[in-house]
Amino acid sequence: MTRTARLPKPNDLEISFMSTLQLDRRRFLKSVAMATATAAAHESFAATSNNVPLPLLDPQVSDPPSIDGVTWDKAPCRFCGTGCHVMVGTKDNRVVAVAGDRHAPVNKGLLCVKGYHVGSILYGKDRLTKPLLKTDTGYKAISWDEAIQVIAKRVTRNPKGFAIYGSGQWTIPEGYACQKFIKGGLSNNHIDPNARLCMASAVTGFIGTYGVDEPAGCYDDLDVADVIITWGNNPAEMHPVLFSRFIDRRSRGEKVTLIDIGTRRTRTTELANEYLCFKPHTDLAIANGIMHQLIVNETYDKQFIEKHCNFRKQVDPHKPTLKGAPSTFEDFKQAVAEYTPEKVEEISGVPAEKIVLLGKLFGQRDLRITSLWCMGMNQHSAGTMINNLVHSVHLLSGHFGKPGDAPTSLTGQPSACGTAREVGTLAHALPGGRLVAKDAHRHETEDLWNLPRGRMNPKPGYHTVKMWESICTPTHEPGGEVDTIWVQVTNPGQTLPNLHKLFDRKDDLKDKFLIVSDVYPTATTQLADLILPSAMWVEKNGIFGNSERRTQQWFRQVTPPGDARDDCWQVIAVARALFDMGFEGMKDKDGKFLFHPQSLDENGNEIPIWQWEHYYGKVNVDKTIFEEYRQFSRLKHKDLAPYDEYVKARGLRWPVVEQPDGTWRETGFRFSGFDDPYVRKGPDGKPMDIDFYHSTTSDGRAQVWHYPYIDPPEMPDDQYPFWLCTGRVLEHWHSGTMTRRVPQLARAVPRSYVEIHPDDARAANIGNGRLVKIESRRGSIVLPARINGRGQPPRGSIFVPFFDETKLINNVTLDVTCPISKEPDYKKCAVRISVASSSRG
Amino acid sequence: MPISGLILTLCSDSKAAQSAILKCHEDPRIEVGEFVGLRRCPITLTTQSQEEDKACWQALQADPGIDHVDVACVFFDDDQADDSPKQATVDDSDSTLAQAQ
Repeated sequence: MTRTARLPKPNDLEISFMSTLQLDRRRFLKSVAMATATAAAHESFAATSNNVPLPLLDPQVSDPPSIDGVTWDKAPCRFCGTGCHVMVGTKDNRVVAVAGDRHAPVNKGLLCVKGYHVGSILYGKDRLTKPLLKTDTGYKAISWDEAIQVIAKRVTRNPKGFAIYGSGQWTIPEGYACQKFIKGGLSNNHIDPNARLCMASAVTGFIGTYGVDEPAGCYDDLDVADVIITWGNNPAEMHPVLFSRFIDRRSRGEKVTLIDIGTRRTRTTELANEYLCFKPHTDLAIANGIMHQLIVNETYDKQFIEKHCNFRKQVDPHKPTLKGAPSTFEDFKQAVAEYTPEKVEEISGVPAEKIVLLGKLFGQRDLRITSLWCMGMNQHSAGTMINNLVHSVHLLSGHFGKPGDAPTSLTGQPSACGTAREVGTLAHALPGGRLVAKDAHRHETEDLWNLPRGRMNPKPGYHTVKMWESICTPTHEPGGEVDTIWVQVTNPGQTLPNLHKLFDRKDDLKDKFLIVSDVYPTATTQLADLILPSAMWVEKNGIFGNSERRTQQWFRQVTPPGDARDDCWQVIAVARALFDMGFEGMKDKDGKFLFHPQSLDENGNEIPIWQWEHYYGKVNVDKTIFEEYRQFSRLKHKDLAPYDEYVKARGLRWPVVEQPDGTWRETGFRFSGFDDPYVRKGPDGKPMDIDFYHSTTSDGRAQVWHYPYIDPPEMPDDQYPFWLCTGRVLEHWHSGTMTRRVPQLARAVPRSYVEIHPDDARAANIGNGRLVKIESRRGSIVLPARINGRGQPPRGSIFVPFFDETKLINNVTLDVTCPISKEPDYKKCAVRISVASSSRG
Repeated sequence: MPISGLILTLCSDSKAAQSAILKCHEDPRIEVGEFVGLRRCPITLTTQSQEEDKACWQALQADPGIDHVDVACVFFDDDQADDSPKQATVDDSDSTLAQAQ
C-alpha cells in the first residue's frame, strides 16, 4: 500500500516555473549555508569565562537565517551528553532545517554529523503511531483509554511487582514524574535508568571522592588546558563538538598536548601527541604508576594535600565499599610503592618511559591538565575504583580547581546527568541527591510531595541487572517478584549484557508483562506485551541536563505523528486512572491526586492534564513539574533557577543562585572559591580557595584513594584467547533506534562488524569483509571482519560496535558488574574467533 | 537535495592541506568560502541525494589534509526518510509486530 497520494503531473510551463523557483531557492539556501558556516567559523571557543554575561535569546539577532515560511526555535540536540544547542527550523509542522546555535556556549554554532541529521530522526517510515496490545494472534491496535486501563490493572494486581525502567534520554520532567509515581505512588522503589549501564561508576567515583556527584569542572577547561588526557575515551568520534574546541585551539597555533590512553587506536589517536595502548583493565595500574611517580619524585602537591585531602583505602580490595576506610599518607605511599614504571609496563603493556612521562606532566605545577573519560572507565568491573584513582591522580598532583585543571567525566546520553543523576531516577535515590534508605531524606521528600509520613519505602529497589533478572525469573521462585516492567526511552532488549541469560527462558513466565513506550520498533518492542507510541524530541516540551551540569529547556515545535504522545503524559494518565479507581498511593495526604500541583494553572484552577486534549493547554506541565522538582535541587547545593530563566537562556550550569539584583548566576567551577557561591569563607572573611563542602569525612576535604590492580573476572586463556571490547561508532547513537532511520547514517554504517588486527586476521585466515564467528562462554555472533579500518585494536583484541539490533553483541558480553556501582563491564571479556564462512559479509 | 554549510579544519601539514582544498575547488558540489585564520575554511556542500551527501562528508573527514569537519547547518526539506532497518532477531518467533504495522 502506498503511503501518499500521487500528485497531479504539472505541465511543461509549470515545470519550468517550478525549476526556476527551486533553483532560486537552492541558490538562496546555499548562500545562507555559506554565511552560516563562515559566521560559525569565526566564533572562538577561547576566552570563555564566567564573566561573560549569560547567553540570552535576542529576537533582534538575524541568525538563524530568515527563510520564507520557516520558524526557528532552540532545542538541545537529542543525542549525546555534550548538550549542543540546535536551532530547529520548522515549516508546515515538519522539521526542515537545523543549524548550530551560535548563542550557545556549549557548541557556538557547531554541530557534529549526528546533530547534523537530528531533524531526520523524527521521520523514519516505521514510527509507532498507535498503542498495540499483544494477543494470541498478534498485535492489536487499541485506544489510549484501553492501554491506560491495561497498565492500571497491572499495577493494582501487584503494586510491589511493578517497575519502571527508563534512561538518560528521559527529559527531567519525565523522569521526575516516574520517580513520583513509583516511589511516592507505589512505594516500591523499583525504578532504574539505563544510565546504570553507562555512568553509574562515574557517580560512585564522584561521591566516593567528593561526597557529591557530578564534575567540578566544565567545558571551559578545554579552552585553557595545556594537556588533555583521554582515558579510554574517543571524543573525536563520540563527542566531536567538544573535540572541536581542541582542534580549534591547535588550528590557531596554541600548544595543546593530547595524550590518548586507550585499548584501541581511534580517530582521537590520530590527532594525539602520545598514544598509550594498554591491556584492558590495567588502567588501574597506570593510575597507580602516575601516583608512584609523584611520590618518588616528590612532585605531588604537598600544600594541596595537607589543606584539602584525606587518604582512603579498601580494607578488602576484593570486597570494596563506597566509603572504604581511613588511611594515611604513609600507608598510601607504601601501597603505591610497588607500581614502578617497570611493574606498570609489565601489567599494562605501556612502556615504562610513558609512565614516567605522565608522572612528569602531573608533577608540573605550571601546566593545566584536564582528564576526560566516558564509557571506557565506567563500563568496568572496577569502575568505581578507576574513577576514584583518576580523581586521586588530580588531587595528589594539585591539578584541580583551576580552569583547565580538572578530572571530568562525559556522559553518553543527553540527560544522564539531568534526569538520571540529578532527579535521581535510580533504585536507591531520590531527587536532589537524597537516598531512600535515609529516614530524614524520605521525610523531606514526603513533605515536598505532601504524602503521609511512612508512605515511602526505605528499602532500595532493584538496580537494572537485578530488575531484569527478576522479571525473567518465575514469580514463585526467589527473586522473581517483579512481574511488570514499563520501559520508556530505551532499548534493554538490545543493550543489557548477556541477553541470552535474560530472555531465552520462556517457561513459567506467562504472568510477566512488559510495557514499552518508544518511537520505533526495537529489539525491546519485539518482546513487549503492550507497546505505546511516544512523542520525541521537539514533538514535546522538554528539559535536559548535560555533562557540565547545564540544564537546558525547549518547547514543542511540531506535533507527533498519529496517536504518539508524551511519555510524561502517559505516566500521569495511568496515575490518574489509578486515582479514579481509588488506589491510595495516587492520593496525597489530603486525598488529592498525586500530580495535583502539576495540574494547576496560574489562577489555581485544576486542569485535567491527564486528558491528552488538555496536556498542552492552560498548563505547561513541564514547568509545574520543574518548579516542584527544583525545591529538591537546593537540598544538596545543586540549585536550579526558575523555569522561565531557562526559557531565556541556552542552559545554565548549577548551582544557579539568585543575585541581589534579581538575576541568576550559574557556576562554572564547583568547590573553587573564585566561582562557587557555596564555598565557605575562611578566617579572613574571604571564600576559601577550595572547599569540598560535601566531604564524606565532614571536614571539607576530598578523599585520595588507593586501590590495587587486581585481575578482572574474565581474561583471555587458551580456550578464549582474545579480548572483546564493545562500543559506539560516530554515525550511530547507542542502539541505533534513531540513527538507523537516518538514511545517510544507516548507509554509511549499515551493519555491525568486528575490528581485528591484521596479524591476528592473517593468523586466522580472515580477510577483510570475511564472516567471523565470535564466541564467548555465553553466546556467539557472526560478523564481517574489518581490518585496518577507522578503529584499530592491538593484537589479541577485537572490537564490535553495539548499535546493530540485528547483530546482538550483548549475547556474547559478560554480565559482571562493578561491586559498588553495579554497572556492567561491556569493555572486556574473553572470546575466540574463527572463520564462519567462505562468503564475504 | 541536502544543502549544508560545513567548516573544515585543515591539518598543519601545508602540502596536505593545500591538496585537500584543491580537491574541494575541483568538486562541483562544493563551494569554498573565505578562510578564517590559516586553517579553518567554511564550505557549502550541495548534493543530489542524502547518500551522496554522506559519501562526500565521509570523504572530507577521511582526507589526510583535513583534521576535523564541523557542521554549521543543513537544509533537508526535500529529503525522504529511509526504509526501516531490519528488526531485531531476539524472540523473532513470537513477534507479529510487523503484521500490526
